[in-house]
Order: sequence, then structure tokens, then C-alpha cells
Amino acid sequence: MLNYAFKRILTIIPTLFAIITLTFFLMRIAPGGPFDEERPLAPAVLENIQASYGLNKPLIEQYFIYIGNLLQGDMGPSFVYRDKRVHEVLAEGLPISITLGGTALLLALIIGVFLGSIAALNQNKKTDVFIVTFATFGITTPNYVIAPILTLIFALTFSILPATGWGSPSQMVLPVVSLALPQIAIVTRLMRGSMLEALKSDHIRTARAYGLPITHVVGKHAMRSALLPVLSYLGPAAAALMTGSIVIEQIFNLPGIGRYFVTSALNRDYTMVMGTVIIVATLVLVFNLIVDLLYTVLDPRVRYD
Amino acid sequence: MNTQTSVLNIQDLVVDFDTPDGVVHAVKGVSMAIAPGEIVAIVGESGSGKSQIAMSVLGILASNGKASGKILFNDQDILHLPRKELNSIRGSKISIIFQEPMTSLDPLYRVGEQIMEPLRAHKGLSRSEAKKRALELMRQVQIPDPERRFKSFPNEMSGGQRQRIMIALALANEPDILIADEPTTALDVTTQAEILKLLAELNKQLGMSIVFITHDLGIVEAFAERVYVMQSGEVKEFGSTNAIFKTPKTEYTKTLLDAEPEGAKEPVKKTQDIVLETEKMDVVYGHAPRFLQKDTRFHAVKDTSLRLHKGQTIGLVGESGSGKSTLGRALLRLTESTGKIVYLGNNIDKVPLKSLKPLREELQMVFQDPYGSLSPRMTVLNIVEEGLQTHKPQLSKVERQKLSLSTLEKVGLDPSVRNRFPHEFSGGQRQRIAIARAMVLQPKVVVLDEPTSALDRTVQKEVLELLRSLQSEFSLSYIFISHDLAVIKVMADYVMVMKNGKIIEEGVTQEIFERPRQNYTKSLITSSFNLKELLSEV
Repeated sequence: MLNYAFKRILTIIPTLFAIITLTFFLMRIAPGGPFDEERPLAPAVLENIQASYGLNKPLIEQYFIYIGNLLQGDMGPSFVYRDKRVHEVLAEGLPISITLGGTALLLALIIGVFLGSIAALNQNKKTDVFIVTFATFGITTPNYVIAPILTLIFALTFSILPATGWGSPSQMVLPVVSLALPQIAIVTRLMRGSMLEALKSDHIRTARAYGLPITHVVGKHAMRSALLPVLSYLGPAAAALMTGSIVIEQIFNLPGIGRYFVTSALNRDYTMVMGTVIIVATLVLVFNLIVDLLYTVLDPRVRYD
Repeated sequence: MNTQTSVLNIQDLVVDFDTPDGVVHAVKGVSMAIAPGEIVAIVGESGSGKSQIAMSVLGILASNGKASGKILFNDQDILHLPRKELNSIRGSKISIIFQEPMTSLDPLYRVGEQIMEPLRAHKGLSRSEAKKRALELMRQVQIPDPERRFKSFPNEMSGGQRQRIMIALALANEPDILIADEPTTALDVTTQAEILKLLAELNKQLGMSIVFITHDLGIVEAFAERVYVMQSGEVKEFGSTNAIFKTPKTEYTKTLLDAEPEGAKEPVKKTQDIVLETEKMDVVYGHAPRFLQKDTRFHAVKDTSLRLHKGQTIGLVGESGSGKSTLGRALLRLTESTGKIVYLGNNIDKVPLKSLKPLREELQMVFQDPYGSLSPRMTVLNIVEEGLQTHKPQLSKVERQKLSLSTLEKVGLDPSVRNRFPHEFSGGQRQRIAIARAMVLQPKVVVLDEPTSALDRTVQKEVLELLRSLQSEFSLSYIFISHDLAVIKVMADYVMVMKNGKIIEEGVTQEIFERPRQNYTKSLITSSFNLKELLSEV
């Protein structure tokens, strides 16, 4: 197990390296540059600025300089937020984004698993139909529609919750719920399906035939089998939450890293784009690793040796 | 037998299933009584409703099933008990072992843990008390090294050991009745004999009644005191095992008893042409150790030589995992192997797979599972004529269909079924379709991989007859793979016994069965044919 974890961590490094290299060169192929403005700068000025950022060096040399700095934990200067280093900018926003995404994921998992199980246990009854309808609604409605509606109801009409900002727990509610809702819906559907299958399996029949209490049959035996497909979904879910947070952070005006995603790419803020890509890629890779390791805990048949 | 002396008394049990095609009457008013300490068998073919009786007793019918009538356990009707009250009886007073030891245990929990569950649920034992008792039970069902095995997961155990765990689970609360639903069908013959022996011993020691549900009359004769014979949801006949076997009263029981495979095959002359020959064949799965990867090599077939004459049937026997199916596939080059393969004097082991195609029509295979090996989206006619399209493109559509229909007729299917799909046929009919698909190409060699193992005995007999008549009509050569020695004995004229990928004994059928040299062969034969003696030692 430890051996496997170690091996997987080792494979993350070349993957990450490939992503960094690809992004670096793709970024430079894109037309335009960080200092293109509506009124072009005087050629001499532009040259000076480029020289001060090292952009006049051959591309390959710039690449190696960047990698060298990166290995020392320096993501370089931002071309737009000129007085700051990229990693400083990201370090400010990252905790907020992680809190937002993490809470949403936890919420999706708890509520989704609960609703999915309830639906499966009441298959084809009213409760089931209600939950499935809710889940279908949640999957089909994008969060940039849900967020304004929730804001309209809870912030503007009833003034129970603040519409924007970050810091107090009450400010977290709307963004987290908007971000989590589609994921709750997906997890619910997944859980319902896998729970139905688990309940039909032979070992559940055994558990019932041996007169084990129903809480035991469902809560211990069926639940664990049913959780496996949900667990596999957590990797993609984390990625979906990451991209979802770009929209949500914009709508609720949150100081996370989501906004840099879009603006830095549009501004050709090379180093900032690299920074966000590295952060997101690392998070997704690490999260998938965690999911795979959790899988071995939940399913003893999966052994990575 | 009256109600007072029976521990379980089933009266007018009716089980109906609500299906999209209408109501299916699975059990139609069955009554039976089981006395304390008695071993009773319920015999019948698949679909006779025998398992549904067990499911009704334990309240585990599928959700679309409904049972009515009475099931008296010690004079208490348990059929209509609320779940909580039923839970205090099932797993405690009445327990069950199922056919599939693979799936009946939860794959995610350690087996020891699972044995502890009913102990804790019914007797309220503490963890350590339950563990002590679980280890005791594992010892009782003869699991070697129970302390270590306690921590195993089901997938780390063999089928036989898993079934022992299931029995330990069933015995945990010393039940009055043990229902065994085809508990040995998925096991090898030697394992089957061990499990039956264990059950017989436990019956003697603990005095619990055993209800044994099976389709295998050999087991019934050796194991049960009384028998209920069931057909399409009804009890056709019941009585003591001796009486039923000596003087069966109904036609149905007679056909069942008659269904044991019979006959023998004359050995072919040594001068007959050799059709297929291998020398020093090896099949290895997996790969050699690589950087950061373990050695996954598994030697499935080791150093095997075989010579198949024209018109001969070589019976390949061995337990599951012995490599017999792999050998069968490797002979037709459906699995990569090393070593020589000679077909009609031509070396075919080095020929590229593409140029092997013309030979494929002469080298055919019939598989065990008649459900999985036919495409569910093709009609019977399409299935049979598909091979002709590839191998005999010169035939016109009309000629092709004519040939296919005559083959269908030859395997005993009415040509009018040509436009039906596989799911509309029974298992036996499906296997006939699979045989027709192979035979339409007029093959010279057919590898039959457990062709009758999934079929009922009466159907098995018909299919064996069919294979025999096809063989003599076209002087076919068969490689007949089976774990069932009764079938091999009547079908093959030459037998090869496989164990761990190796042929450990071979010879003319009669000789092998009368004078086996290897202990392994001996134990296979005893487990298959002398079950009664084996159990009478108990």
C-alpha cells in the first residue's frame, strides 16, 4: 500500500512536468502578449519592458529559467499585477477556493449519499419519484442559473443571507449551496443506482436470510458496496467543482483563484496562467490519488502491489 | 407424519411472481414435512420451484414474489410474521447455505467478521466471545489455520473454503434446520464430496434437520433419507430415498432416474490418421518481472503432448483451474502457446493467425455457457449461417440458408424456429444452436468445453446423444473437456487427467476408470461414483 502510494506520487511528477511544458509553449503560440494594449507602446519602451521580464531571450532559455525558478518555489512575477509574484497572489486566493470547493464536495457527498439511499430503499414509491425529480432538476440546471435565483430569493427578497463577500459563515452559504447543488444531484443519482444494485446482490440476500437487523443489512453491507462507484466519481467531481468555482466566485464576488483563471488567460499574463494551471493540475492529480488510495481501504479486493 | 413430530411443516405453499409478462406460478400448492434430525432432499430440474420454497421459508423472495399458504416452524406460522419477529428465527433457528459461495458472502468484509455477525445479532455476544465462537466454528468446518483465515477476505479463498465459511455461518447459532440450496453445484467433485461429508457429520453430531435442494440424483441417493420430487411447481412424488430409487411411481421420476449418462465409446484403432497433435505445449499467462512490477507469470499448461486420431474422443478431466480449458483453446490457437501443433500433417503453431482463417472452419469449438456464447441480437438462422458467409462465400444466399436449416434439423431443432432469437430458447435448445453453428461448417475437430455442464440431466442426455450421432455420421474428432467424470466415462475413448497444468495420467477410458494409478485420479473417481460409500463412513 505505502509502496503503491509512493509509486503513484512518483508518477505525478512527470505528469505535472508534461502539463507545465505543454502549457508553457501553447501559451506562447497564442497570438498577442502581456503588454499589448489598445494604444501600442513605443517599440523602445516595449523592448525595455520585455528585457526586464526576460522575454527577449530565446523561448527555450526562458523555459529553463522558468523551470529553474519553479523548482525553488518561485512562479515568477505577474505581468498584470506588477508589484506581486504569482505565488503570492495565488496564496491569497487558494485557501478561499479550497474552502469553497471542499465544503461543496463534502455537502454533495453527505446529502447525495443520504438522498440516493433513501430513494433506493423506497424504489418506485413517492419518495423515490420526488428525489429523482429533484436530482434531474439539479443535473440539468447549471449553477450560473441557480446562483442568481438563490440570491434573488434569500438575499434580495428575504434578506436572510448576504449576497456577496467572504469571511463570515453566513456569506459561505449561498456560494457553497450553488456550487454543490449539481454535484448533490449527480451523487444522488449515482448512489441510488448503486444502492439498488447492492440491495439485489447475493450477499445482501445472505444478510437478510440470517436475520440481521435492517440497519445492519443496509447501513453496513449494502452501503459499503454502494459507495464504491460514488467514490470513483469523486475525482471527476473535484475537477468539476474547480471549474464550477470560476463562475461562482465571479457571481458572488469572492477573492478566490477562480477569477485569475479567466482574466490571466485573456491578458496573456503568462506566469499567472502557468501558476493557475499548476495549482489546478496538482489538485486534480492529488485528489485522484487520494480517491484511489481510499478505494483500497473500502474494497479489499483492490490491492496495488 | 403428523404436525407434532415435524420441525418444519409446509402446507399448500403457493408462490407467484408478478412479471411484465404476467403472473408466473412458481410454486403451486406444495406441502411437505421435515422431522427433527432428518435429511430430506428436494429434487427437480431448473425452474421446478424448489429454490423458491427455501426463499419463502426464510422470507427472502424477490420483491415481485408473493407467497401464501402456511409454513409452520414448531407449529408457529412464520410465513406471515413481521420482519422483526422473523429475524429472531432466521439465522438462528433456521439457516441456509446457497449455491454461489462466490457471491453469497460480502466481498468487502473479512470472513471471520461475517461469521460473528449472526452470533452477535441473535445471541448478543460481545466481540471477543463471538470471535472465540467463530474460530471454534471454523475449526468445526475444517478450515485449516483458522486464526489466519479469520482475517481473510472471501476472494482470497477457494470455492470449497468459501462454502465451508458459509456452513460455519449457518451453524453459528446451532439451528434446528439447515436448508442447503444446491450447495455443491459450483464446486469440483472432490470438494463436493468433502462438503457433503462435512454436512453428514454435522447432521449426526448436532442433530439438526437438513433440507437439501439439488438436481443431482447421485447426491440424493447417497445423502438423503427422504425425497420430494418436484416438477413445474408441484410435488410429483415423495417417499424414502430407497423406495423412490427402486420403485419410482411417476413417469417423471423415472425419466429423471433414467437421465444418468450411459453407454461407452469404442477406442479407435491406432492405425487411424492423426488429426491433431501437439508436442511440449506450454501456455504462460502474465509477464516476467519488470521494473517496479512483480512477476505475474502463471504457467497454465505445462509441457503437454496430445495426439487426437480421426473419430476419437479425448476426454480432458481435472478440477477447475487445472488448465483444461486453456489447453483446449491453445490447441485451436485461440490462446498463444509455445510448442508444436500439427494439424493433418501441417505445422500450424508458427502460421500467422490471418492465414489460419481457412483452417478455422475445420477446427470448431462449443462453449459451456449457451447463454453467453450466442449473440442475443441475431436470429438463429443468422447465427448458424454466419460461419458460412465467411468460409464459403461461393454459396448463394439460398444455398447457405438451405444448408443452415438442414443442420438445424440435424441437431433436432424445427427449421420453423429460424427467425427466433436465442433468449426464446431453453438452455438445451441453445446448446443445440451452438452445436449447429459449429457443425454447419463440417469441421474435422471440435473442442467441446463443458458442453453440458449448464444443462439439466435429462437435457444433458439428449445433447450427449446428439454429439454421439454427429460424431459417427461425420467421423468427427472431439476434445471433450469436462469436470464431470460420469459424462467423460460414456463419451470419451481416451482420457487425460490434468492437474495444475500438467497431464498426470492418460490412457484408454476403461483402463483409467478401472485401474487408476494416480491418487488424484482415484480421488476424482471415488468422489464421482462412490459417494455413497464415502458418506457411509460417517
